Order: sequence, then structure tokens, then C-alpha cells
Amino acid sequence: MSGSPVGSKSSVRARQASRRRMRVPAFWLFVGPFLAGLMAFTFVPIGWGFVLSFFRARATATPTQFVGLENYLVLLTSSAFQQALLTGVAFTIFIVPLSFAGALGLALMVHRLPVLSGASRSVFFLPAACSYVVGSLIWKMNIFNGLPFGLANSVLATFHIGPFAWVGTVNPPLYWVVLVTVRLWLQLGAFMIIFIAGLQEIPRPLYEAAAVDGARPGWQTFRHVTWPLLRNTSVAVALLLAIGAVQAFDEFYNIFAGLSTGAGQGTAGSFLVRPPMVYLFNVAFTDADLGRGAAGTFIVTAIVVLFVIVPARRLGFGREQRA
Amino acid sequence: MSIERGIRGRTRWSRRLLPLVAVAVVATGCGSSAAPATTGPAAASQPATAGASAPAASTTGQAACGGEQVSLTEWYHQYGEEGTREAALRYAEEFTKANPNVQVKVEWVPGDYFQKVRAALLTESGPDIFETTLADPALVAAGSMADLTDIFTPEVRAEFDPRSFTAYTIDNKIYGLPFIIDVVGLMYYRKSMLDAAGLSVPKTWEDFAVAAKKLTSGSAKGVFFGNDGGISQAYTLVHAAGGEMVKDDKTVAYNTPEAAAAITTLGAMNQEGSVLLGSPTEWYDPTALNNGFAAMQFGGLWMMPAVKKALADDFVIGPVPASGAGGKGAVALSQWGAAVNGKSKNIACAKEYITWKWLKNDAIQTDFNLSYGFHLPPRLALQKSAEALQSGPAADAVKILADNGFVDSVYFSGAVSTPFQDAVAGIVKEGKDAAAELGKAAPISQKELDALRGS
Repeated sequence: MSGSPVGSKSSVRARQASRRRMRVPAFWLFVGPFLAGLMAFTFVPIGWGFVLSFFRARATATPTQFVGLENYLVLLTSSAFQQALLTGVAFTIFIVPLSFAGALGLALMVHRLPVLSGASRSVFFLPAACSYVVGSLIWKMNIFNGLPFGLANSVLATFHIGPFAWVGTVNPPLYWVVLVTVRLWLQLGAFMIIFIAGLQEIPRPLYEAAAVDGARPGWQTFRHVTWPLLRNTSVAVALLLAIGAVQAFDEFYNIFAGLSTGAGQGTAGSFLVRPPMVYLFNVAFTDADLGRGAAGTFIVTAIVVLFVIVPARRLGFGREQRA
Repeated sequence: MSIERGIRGRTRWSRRLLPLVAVAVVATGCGSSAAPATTGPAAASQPATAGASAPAASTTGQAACGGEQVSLTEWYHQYGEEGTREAALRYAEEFTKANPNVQVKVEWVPGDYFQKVRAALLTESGPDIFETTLADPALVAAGSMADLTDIFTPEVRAEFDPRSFTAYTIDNKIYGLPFIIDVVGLMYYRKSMLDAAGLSVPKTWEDFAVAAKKLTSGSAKGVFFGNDGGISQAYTLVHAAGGEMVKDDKTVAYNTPEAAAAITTLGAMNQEGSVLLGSPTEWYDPTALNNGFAAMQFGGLWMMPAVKKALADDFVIGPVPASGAGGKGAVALSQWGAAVNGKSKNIACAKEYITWKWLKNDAIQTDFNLSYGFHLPPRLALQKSAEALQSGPAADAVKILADNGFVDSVYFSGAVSTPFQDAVAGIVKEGKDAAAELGKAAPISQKELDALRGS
């Protein structure tokens, strides 16, 4: 650049300055496209959605009629939306502890395996490669179909139980068996991997020290060494599980889809089992009421922030792990 | 809800093919996440397949499409029958041949058709022409459906069944040109199974419930309404009980003691276990009936060829039977019609194109309805001249439609119909009191209807 001999103070400064000048375009070259994408596909839609939620926006994304909080009030006082929120909460209460315990249990088992540990990991992780749509359809059409020759019904028939119409039965609500098992099958493996990563982070010497101090292997070691040191992983997994549960759409939509739609304009998803996302999908895209649909997403976001993210922060999510 | 449940999935599925079907469903499901504004195959580049069988144009449109180069986009939902897409492409080619300056791009939309149409109509690049089952009040209010009233002179109107226009009319303006009629709610009965149980085709809804119970034995159930146990078909019962969903486009009318009684009977059938649930296929597919999973099935005209193929003459059809003293058998007259995007730059040419195709061209209408699937041409003269409709169960279906067909108001859809269905779900699935549930739902529907009319 300057051509002056190395070591000269002024030339170093010049080089540093020029490197700094180079750094700015380089920064934007790398970050710019990402930021532009984030703006175009995330921030602008969120902002636009927020604006829409205060307008009467039926079959239009450029509304003119300001209605204030009407969309929010209509939703919050609608018994159908309240029911949808309850369904979402019930699903979360079922699925989060089950997935958490299942994934942790699998991780502990696979982590300790003396042989075939890699193979077992792959086997348990494989379902994560399957899409929710495929999983839902297999569960609905093959395993849990209501005919006597469905897989679940044929197995039960050997014990002289059933046959049951799994998806169509409300008393008792057998559809929960279908919904919960499909999600467990699909997501346990992925969360197991996260837990295994967490387990591998725990330093071996701690276990040795615990053993020297007289901790029995098994429950005592788990309770006093593994569990406390897994806290960050646990909180992250619980958080992701809870957010995933509130966002549940695919399996509800696909398992109950044919139940209620005629030719597309019908209400998507079941009448009785409608989590918030399915309800809002119907409002926004079937009833073509984008304003109310947008308002609903902000209500659900508020609930997630209030009941999931704030408690998770208090449990230490996102803070440095203390060694 | 009634008018929009039309034609879907008429592919003949056998149980062995289900995994394949699942994969296909998945494939379309994956495609559905993107809002298709300008995507799709460029149909215009498809080779022309017009052959000897291609219907000849009866007129050649000029006026509105004349002059400069015009490109029209036309959307169809995915028809299940083989050959339908090729036919649609062929009609478009034919129009281009008569009007060389007009290119028509036919797009075949798989998956959730209506959701995609709505999303596309929000953009600048929505389709110029799209098929639809009704004049959607929200789309009309947003200016996304062009007024087609001037096409329908008194002479033209006289060519159609008057009920054809109910689903396309808002405030005396017509927004769609019907080109397919489907009969929804035809009950199919397995003759041999009725005979074995010593039953004849039930005349009333109450007898129907008794028959359903008697026909339930072993692995066979009495009746299949679809995997929701008939919740989404309950609007037909309101008509079978002599009522309607919305009166004069203004008043929600489903909350009557007669309707409550009919829906209670549906609930009883469900609670007695006479109803098939959890079948791998839905009500619009004849698999359950053909394989004897159920002795009676709620279905539609389109499945008749498949039923005939599987069962030969071991079936009888009828409307959903009359319920109560003031009741009358009921089937829904459901249609697909062509609509023009109100924001299109080529409204006049688009109108000319659909008029050429669906109004002036007898051969195309007959071909599209009867050469691939099995539907009724909406123009009455063509119903009378089509050979396939002159005898047997097909002729019965035409008569049933004439005697028992109903069409609901355009306002009975979306947010207006949801409270009704939620109420029916409570009655059918949880055994709640019908009168009370309908009584609670009707004011909510009415509020939504008022909002829709006010918008």
C-alpha cells in the first residue's frame, strides 16, 4: 500500500487506518444480506402484523379502517378462542414434561452405553429427520386408524380390547394418545442429542470426586452432580419444548384436517381440538380476517413471553453457567 | 359451508395405495407453505394437444381481447381425475388459436386452494381468472371479484337452473359463472347389506338411524359420514328438517327445534356406535362403502363411477332423508364457477375468455364435466343432451338434485358457520343438549354475519 519500510510508525498507523476502512465494507458485505433478509422477512412482517391488528383487514393487507383494540377484545371474549388457548395449555402440560423426561432418560441411557452408543444415538435421532406432516399421516392413516385392521387396533384385539376410533373419540379423549405419541416420536431424538451434549460437558473428575466422597452411583450421583450441572441445558430444552408446544400446528392440522374440511374453505382442523395456531390460521386465511388473525398472534406471543420466557430467564437461561 | 364443499379427491384410492397417497398428500402439503403469487408451470409452453376429440369453438371472441398482446393467468384447484388438466390446457390453447394476441397461462394449484387464492389476491400479481365455489363476501368487499352481472342477460339466465346463481350473488350482482355442478350429500346404500338385514332404503331420518344401528355388526358399521361423525355435514340435516342456514342473506336461521331434533338423532347414532370413524379415507372417497366398512355412505355424484366399478349394481342412491313432519329430503347443489379478479388489468378480456369457454361453447362444458370425472353441466340443455345422464343411477341423481337440491346463502361460510359447527361438535361428540347449543351459537353467527355485511 504505502510502500514505506515496515516498522515506521506512520506507515503502521496508515495500514491500521486502511484496514479499518476496509473493515466497514467487509462488515456490511457479510452482515448486510442477512440483515436485509431479517428486515424483509421478519421485522417488517412483524411490524406490519402489529399495524394490521388495529385495523379491520378483511381480505386485504392494506386496510384503511382503524378499529383500535376491537380485534383484541373480540378474540379475548370469544369462547372459541378461549377454548383454543385452553387446548394449547393442555397440550403443553401433556407434552413438555413427557418429552423432557423421555429425552433425558434416553440421553442418560445412550450416554452410558458401553457398546453401540453411536448406533443407538442414530436410531433414536432418525425420526427427527421425518417431517411432522409425514408422521401425522402415518399415525392417522396406518397406526391409529379406526378400523379393526389398524395397527393399534389389531394389537389391542389380541387382548380383546377395542377396536377404538382413535382420532374420532372424545369420551375419553383418545385423540390425545395420537397427538402426544406422534410428537414424542418426532422430537425425542433431537432433544436427546441436546441432553447428550450437555452430559458430555460435565467434567469426568467431578464424578470421580463424588465417588471418592462416597456418593453412590445412580440416583445419588444424578441428583447431586448431573442434574445441577445440566441446568442450563434443561432450561433450554424446557423452553424450546414449551414454545414448540404453543406453536403446535402441523399434527393437529393434518390429523384432523380431513375431518372437517370439504373443499378447502371449510374450517381447518377439528372442531373440538383446535390449538391457538390452527384457530388463528382459520381466522386469517379461511375467514380472510387478517386483522383479527394478527391480533391473535400478538396475544399468543404475549402469553409465551409472560409464562415461558420470563420464568426461563429467572431460572438462569441465557446467563453464564457457573462452574 | 355447504356450497364450497365441492369436488375433491376423486381419485380412486385402494387401501394398498394409501402409503403412496400419503406421500402425495405430503408432497402437496409441503408445497402449500409458500404463497404462490407468480409461481407454477408455464402452461402456455405446453405442447398443444388439441386433437380430433377437441371441441370446436362455436364463436371466436374478438372485441375486448383484440388489439395488443394480452397475457391472462387462470387458476384451477387440483382436480383428481386424469386428463382434466390437459383438457384445461387444451381449451386455453384453443382460445389462443382464435385470438393469437391472447396467451392464457393455466395454473393447477394443489393443496389448500382457497387459502392460496386469498393470499394471491392480496398481491398485485394475483390470477386474472380463478375458479371458486361462491361469491366470497370478504373478497367482493375488497374488490377482488369483478362484477359479472352484464354477462347474464335474461336469455342467458334462463339457460341455467335458477339455484345456480344463489352462491354467486351478493346484493343482486353476480360474481361467478358456474361451469360444474356437484351433488353433495347423496346417500349411497349397499343394496345387498340392506337386504341381508331385512331393510329397505329408509324414507325418514329417524328410520335411517334405526337402519344404521341394525346394519352395525361385526367389523361393519352402519353409516359413514366422514371421520368427524357427520359434524361438517350437519348443515344438510338443517335442510332435511325443512330449515335453512341463513334467511334472505340477513338472518341466521339454523336455530330451530326441528334442526335440533335432526342433529340430536345424528348424535344418537354416534353415541350408539353405528357410525364409522377413523377410516383412512374421507367421505368424498368411496373406499369405505366399496370395501364394506359401512353399509351406507354420505357422498357425492363424483364418486358414482368408482362405486359402479367396484359394486356394479349393488347400490342405490337417495337424498339425506327427511327429518320430522315438515322435513324434506336434501342434497346440496355445489358448484365451481369462474370468477375474474377485480384488480386484474384485463377484466374485459378475461370476461370474454370465460364467456367463450363456459357459456358459448357447449362441447367444452360437456367435455369438462363428463369426459374425465362425473359432474353435471350447469346449463340445463346440456344436462338433457348428455348421454351419460339419461339412465340408471345417474339419471336418478339428476332427478334427486332437481327435487331436493338446496343452496345456502353466501354468508354461511367461514366465521358465520364456525359457531354452528362447534355447537354440532358438542352435540354429536359430547352429547350436549342440541337446542341449548344451537341457541348459544346462533347469536355469535349473527354477529359475524352482521360484521361481514357491514364490511
